[in-house]
Amino acid sequence: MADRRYHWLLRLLPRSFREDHETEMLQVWRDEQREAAAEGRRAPWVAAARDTLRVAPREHAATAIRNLRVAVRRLRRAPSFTITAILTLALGTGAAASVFSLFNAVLLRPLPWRSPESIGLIWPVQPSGERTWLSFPEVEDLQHDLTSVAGVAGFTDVRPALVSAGGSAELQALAVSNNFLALLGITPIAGRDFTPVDDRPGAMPVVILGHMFWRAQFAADPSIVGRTITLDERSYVVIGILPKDFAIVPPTSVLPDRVDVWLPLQPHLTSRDRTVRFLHALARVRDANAFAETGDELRTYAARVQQASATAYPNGRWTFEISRFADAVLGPARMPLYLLLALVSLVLLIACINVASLLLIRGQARRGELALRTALGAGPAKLAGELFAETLVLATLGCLLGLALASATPPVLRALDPSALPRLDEASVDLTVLGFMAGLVLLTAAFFTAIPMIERMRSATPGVVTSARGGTQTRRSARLGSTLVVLQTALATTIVIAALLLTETFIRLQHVDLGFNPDGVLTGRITLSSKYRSGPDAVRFFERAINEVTRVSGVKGVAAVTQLPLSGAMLSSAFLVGPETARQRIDADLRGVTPTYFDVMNVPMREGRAFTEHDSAANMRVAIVDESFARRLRADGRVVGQRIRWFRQPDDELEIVGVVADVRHRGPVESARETVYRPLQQYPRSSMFMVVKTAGQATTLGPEVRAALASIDPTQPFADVRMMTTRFEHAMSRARTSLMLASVLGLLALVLAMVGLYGVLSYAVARRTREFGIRIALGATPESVRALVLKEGLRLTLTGTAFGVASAAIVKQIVETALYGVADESLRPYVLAVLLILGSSAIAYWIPARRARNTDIATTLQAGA
Amino acid sequence: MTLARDRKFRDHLPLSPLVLHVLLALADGDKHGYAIIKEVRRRTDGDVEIGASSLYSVLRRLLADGLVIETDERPDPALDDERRRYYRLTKFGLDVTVADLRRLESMIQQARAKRIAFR
Repeated sequence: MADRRYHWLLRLLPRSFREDHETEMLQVWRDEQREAAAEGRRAPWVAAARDTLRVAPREHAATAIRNLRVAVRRLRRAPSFTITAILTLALGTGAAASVFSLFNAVLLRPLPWRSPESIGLIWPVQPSGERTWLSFPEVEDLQHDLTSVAGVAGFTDVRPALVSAGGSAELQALAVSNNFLALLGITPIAGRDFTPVDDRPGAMPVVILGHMFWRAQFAADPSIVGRTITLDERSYVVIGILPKDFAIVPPTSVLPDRVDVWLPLQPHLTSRDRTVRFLHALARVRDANAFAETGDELRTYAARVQQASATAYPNGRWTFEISRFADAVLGPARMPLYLLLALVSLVLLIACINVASLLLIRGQARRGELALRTALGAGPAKLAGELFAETLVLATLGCLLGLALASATPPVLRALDPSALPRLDEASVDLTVLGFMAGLVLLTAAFFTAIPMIERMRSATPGVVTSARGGTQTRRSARLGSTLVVLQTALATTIVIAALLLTETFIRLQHVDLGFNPDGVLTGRITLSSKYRSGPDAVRFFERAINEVTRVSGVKGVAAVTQLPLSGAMLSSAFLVGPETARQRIDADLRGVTPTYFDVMNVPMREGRAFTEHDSAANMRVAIVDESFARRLRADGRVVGQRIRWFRQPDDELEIVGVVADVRHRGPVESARETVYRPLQQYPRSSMFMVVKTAGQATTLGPEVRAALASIDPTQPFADVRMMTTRFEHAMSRARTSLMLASVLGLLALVLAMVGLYGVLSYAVARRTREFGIRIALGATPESVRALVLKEGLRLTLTGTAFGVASAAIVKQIVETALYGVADESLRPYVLAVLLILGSSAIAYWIPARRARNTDIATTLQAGA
Repeated sequence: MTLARDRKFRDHLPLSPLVLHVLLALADGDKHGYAIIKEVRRRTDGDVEIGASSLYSVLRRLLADGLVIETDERPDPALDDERRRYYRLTKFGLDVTVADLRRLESMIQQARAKRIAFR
């Protein structure tokens, strides 16, 4: 009993220490106890415990240092092994750390604001279920009414022209409530924040500079604070400069990708009408869990405000809701990053298996040594400790090199495409990444120690003598080698297929059929004020706008649409089809367009006709559907003349007059969704995007188009003016970067897998040198030995490939949820991957097979004797 | 004594009191672990108590450095348990011990020269 307790106490000491001395120490303890009993004392427990506690840390440290010293000495004696292992690990961990540092920057690291998790966005939701902008009176209401938030700040983007000695340039500005920056926890590095005095109609014009703009335009001169700059022909006093890390506002559909200057909101309001909606609002919820409470308050507010000003909320029940800001910023980037993380884990696994097989080869060479040392009394713990130290040194050096690779990745990506991922600018190696790497080091080292130990225990048990002689391999250790080959091949096949799938998607993406032609199309948003509240007024305004803009020289065509393609903005709706007794519901996206829209955007008509001037409110209700919708309605897609009903107005029948090509509304990588178009005259809307097809370089036409619109009514803002190609590029770049990274990972995996296969196979052949020698001595021809090696190798490779193809099906599922267009059931990636793997393993097999053929009988058998 | 050997000594000097006690205990014959503990206890009238962990930590280092070796000769086989291991001071170990004792002696002489309370 006492023995056992003392035994437990001794567990504090290193295992190798116990292996050497435990028996004796127990003996000493028994002697102590006996003597104490004879003298009528109690056994000296306290002294023993104190003694052991004092000795244990020192002994652990001494053991570790000794092991590390031995490890370094051993590794230096085998430079080619050491360098190969370290480089393989560096590639694997470098790739892993690169992807992880992106992952960390984009998804894990908090936004550069004070407690960003409690920042939300407030949205009005129309009766149709579509989110829309806020009007200024609503922002004011929310600022006064909400008690569950620390503050609400409205904002909108404006494009003032900066007039300087060098000419005029359009800036990207954000007009914000005076509490906006304070709400996010941002303090200017020089000067001051906005105050309520600045944020009043008719206040003295002031401006706060963004950090990047300040550096670029004013060479980071702090004395600019207090001086004036000219924006849109007015003088603005610079009152502050924002800190660097806030220069990067995460680009979203809500915020622009960069903000040059910040302006107070009220002096830049185009309207204070409750029905003119052009603002977003940020709110800081009291804490991250109070979103539900704010949601309740918003519901109460919605009811009250609709009672108070019913006319401002037409068409049914409006609601207000709050969403977490982080979701809006990071949502779209999530899936590709998870995919990359999955791929890079496979790459890392391959690298680990490579090093494991290298260690096995080395273990093979060291079997004699290990067996001899076991015979001389070195316990398994001691050997394991030494092996662990060796692999720890390898893993640490590999990871350090990998870290260096990883820290080079974000700058390279940034140089390639800065808008590729949100917050890419912030990607760097930080403590989280270091922690991740440290975890990797320990895991890989443990993994590498386990494998040779298992191998050693299995193969060395039959007897020291055979092991020392390097006898023919045992059945079990042969199985370990085979398992590694199969595993390696399976992993490589999976990842190569995944990489090829992604590469194919990448290539296809370059020529993706958007369903329209974005070239030379200038776009901008007009949200009409209450003056044009009635449908016919809005229709008349947009018809006039189209006429005026058409007259601008260089303009080839003009149209308007409720939501632009690729914007991701959709009006999710539903249509009813079939006879009254058997109504069916088809969910579809609804868009209002003017007659020339399909022409201006170059959307091909598949059947029927486009809308005309005659599709007015007085005439038959009509609709044009896209091919997806047409196919849902009738398998052959011939639907012209059929009737459908909008589920909000089920009494009105809409006659389908045309079918157009599918348009990618959600983005270039997301598949098209069923869409129904209705003519603006029959479906009047007060917020539309103008699309202007131009003959030449349309960027220069912005001011003319704006002037033409101002000639109708200068108070109606023309906002978010961008070329359609710019919107396309923006939508593309994100997908492009993830695909490029995935392809690089795939290539890396292929190279690593080939090196690994070669290693594993060499190991397998090396283990069997003696067997080959015997075979040849017994009369087998060298060629038959080579054939044997090749045959057995290919059998394993084929098994591995089969597993790989099977697991690629799972990967494909992941890829499909992340990206579009993989749905194409082409077998090409699979066939290509299998050929690549078989080809590279044939090369990997050739060298060991030749070595097997050339086995020299005399030396092998002598060495074994 | 050659210079190289001299330097080798110096790597081990000065010996910690605990190490010196263990080496002294072995100076007059091979002993097993518990015998070392008892001998030190007896010699110091119980002032120095060596715990088993400390003892084997010291022995481990002395073994690795070659100051002590294990021996399978038993002083009195009839009395002793097979499981016990006996430790023996090597020639090198003795040299190191002597060198440290000389160092101590010279310290004491220097102290005497300064007439610090020694009889």
